[in-house]
Amino acid sequence: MIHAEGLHKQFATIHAVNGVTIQAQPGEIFGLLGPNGAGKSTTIRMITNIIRPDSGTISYSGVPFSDSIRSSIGYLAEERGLYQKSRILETILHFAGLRGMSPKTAHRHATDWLGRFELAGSESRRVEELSKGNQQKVQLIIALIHQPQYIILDEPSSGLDPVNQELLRAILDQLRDEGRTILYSTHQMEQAERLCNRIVLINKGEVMLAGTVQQVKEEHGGNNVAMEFEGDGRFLRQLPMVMEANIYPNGAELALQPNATLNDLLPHISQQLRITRIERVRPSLNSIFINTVRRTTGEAITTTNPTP
Amino acid sequence: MNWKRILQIARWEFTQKAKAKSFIISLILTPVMMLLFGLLPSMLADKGKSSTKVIGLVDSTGTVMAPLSQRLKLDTLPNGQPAFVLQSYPTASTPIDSAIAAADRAILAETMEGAVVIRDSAGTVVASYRSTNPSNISLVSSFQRRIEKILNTERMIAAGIDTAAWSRANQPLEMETVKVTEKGGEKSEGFLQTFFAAYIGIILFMILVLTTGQSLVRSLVEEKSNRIMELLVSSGTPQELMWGKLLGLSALGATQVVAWVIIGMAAVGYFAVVISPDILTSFPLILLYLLLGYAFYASLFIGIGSLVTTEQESQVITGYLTMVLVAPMAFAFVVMQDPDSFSVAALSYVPLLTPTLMMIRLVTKMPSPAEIAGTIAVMVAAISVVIWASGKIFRTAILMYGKRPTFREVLWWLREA
Repeated sequence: MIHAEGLHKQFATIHAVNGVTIQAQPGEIFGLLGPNGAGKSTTIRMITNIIRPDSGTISYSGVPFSDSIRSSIGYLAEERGLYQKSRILETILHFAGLRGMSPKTAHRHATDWLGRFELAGSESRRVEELSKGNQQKVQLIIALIHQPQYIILDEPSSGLDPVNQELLRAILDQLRDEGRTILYSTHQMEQAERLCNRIVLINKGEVMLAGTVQQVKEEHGGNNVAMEFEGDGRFLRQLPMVMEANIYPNGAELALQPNATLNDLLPHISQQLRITRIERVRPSLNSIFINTVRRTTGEAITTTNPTP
Repeated sequence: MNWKRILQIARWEFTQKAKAKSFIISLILTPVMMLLFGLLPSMLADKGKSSTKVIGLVDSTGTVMAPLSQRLKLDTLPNGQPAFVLQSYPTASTPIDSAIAAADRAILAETMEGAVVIRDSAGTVVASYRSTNPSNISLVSSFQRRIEKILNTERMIAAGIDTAAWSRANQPLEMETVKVTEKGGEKSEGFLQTFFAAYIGIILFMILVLTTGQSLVRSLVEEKSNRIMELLVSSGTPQELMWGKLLGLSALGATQVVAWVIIGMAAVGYFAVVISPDILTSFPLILLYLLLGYAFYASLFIGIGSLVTTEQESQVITGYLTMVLVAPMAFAFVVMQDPDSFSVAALSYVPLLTPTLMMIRLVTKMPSPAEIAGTIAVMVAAISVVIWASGKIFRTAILMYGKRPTFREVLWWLREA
């Protein structure tokens, strides 16, 4: 279990992390969500002992960070890169060596992983010869090769194509089933929704929401309508029965007033839009994320809609 | 600190840099270039002396020809042939101008290297050298000296002076240097050689400091700009990273210097002659100052280097540190002339200058034990301070990308934690 309690970190004038608590259990993927600059990476850097929190405690299965715990953590940083001139296998073996693996075991595991990530045969190629996505796979191998009990991944899928995102998802599912503790940081809600058991959403260094994905949805599962249409949907935001609206080019997700029904809504929209689909739904994590952030930030962030 | 990780980092730094083409090229090319620059001019100069040269002589005094050709017989080429052969253009029966014209024709036809013209006008002798290449200074000055001596002797004879008595009275004086040491005044012909051996040693020390310092800064910049830092500091502590880098790149620098010394010794061959017993007595102290200086500069480089974010900045920084490091060499000869002066003694306590100055002083005149102890104490204290400060700066600065910290921020890091 990774347990961080009441973390605080202040940089000069910015309160980057303000009382964040995380409790990731073995056998689960714990989602650390938040918009850019919310404090996710700072939180993770404190958990991985790269920077020290101003206050708060961090423990791994009840034990504070120590040198032996260091080698049972697999960490993929958001700011990540490799030695460009070095060869792939020797790079992997170097970092495996830093985690205390013997060269022989490391070599065997590296070959395994390279095969799994479809990089077999690239052992002696230079890192700079690989595409960005493939370099990222090497970084993932480096994070996972020493079979860490605690896996901490900061935006692991950015830069991966959909096929490789799927591959990563399968690997993470397997690691979760093996009982590893996985802390997964992202601003892509669709991924978090599919992958994570529990989440915490932070914004401006503070926790906004916490719980299982189901709990969060139920708590915020108001009276929501999802629709697809042709036409300009911007007027939807002004309708009296609409509390919140996330409007996309060919659709929208609306949060209605508690007592409003679809029947109240339809007369207002059937004139102006050619509706292809409309249904009552539970809100997506994405719209909860956007609405929560928008409420706390007090400004429109429709331009930062993450793409699925 | 975990020694296994430090060694792993050291090994990585060493092997990755040693495998780089630039390292292999500099390992071989630098001594080759040095040897070329050192040996080529003398090789070329020797080449010029490989054949006998014909020199014309137009002498209106008529007294130079016989004694000059007598003296030139002593000047031979390596193959035993004479270096110069004189071709006389008599002026007794022909006007001097037509003799000169005849010599000029031979020079232009390249059957003659050049011609010396000696005119006597009202008791004042004027000489000139004519050639297509009048800039052959060593040739011109050797003929000047020889002809001057011949004419002086002629004049003394004409004035009735006893030339043998004159040369006894004009004996040149040789001054040899004797270094007085505790073991009694010994004649030490090798003093200058000793000094230059130390000088070469100091230059090698500087090359070691500079190459290592530069590769330290460059590897930090690379890890920052390639965003490898976070991966590294999550795999080990910043201190381990710092010590591993110092160890690995120092070994690399030492390998380079040792390789150059071996190549140099093999090529030059006479190095063994230079190492006199004198340098051996002060050798342990020289080595101690060398190590202290190295530790001081390397930790300085790593602290300042961790603040740098781009290759350009790193070049500026290493450039300034190089100047500070090399500065004492500029006044090495002043130190040699007056090693006891107050200013030299005072500057010896400035940690940036201590190693170089003390190494020079050790081979010129052994400083007092109090001074040696004092400067070593200052160095040890300075090294501790620099390692402490560099460690703190390093720990925070290595995770800063793009933005260079302000001076105030750096001071803050030193106070904090």
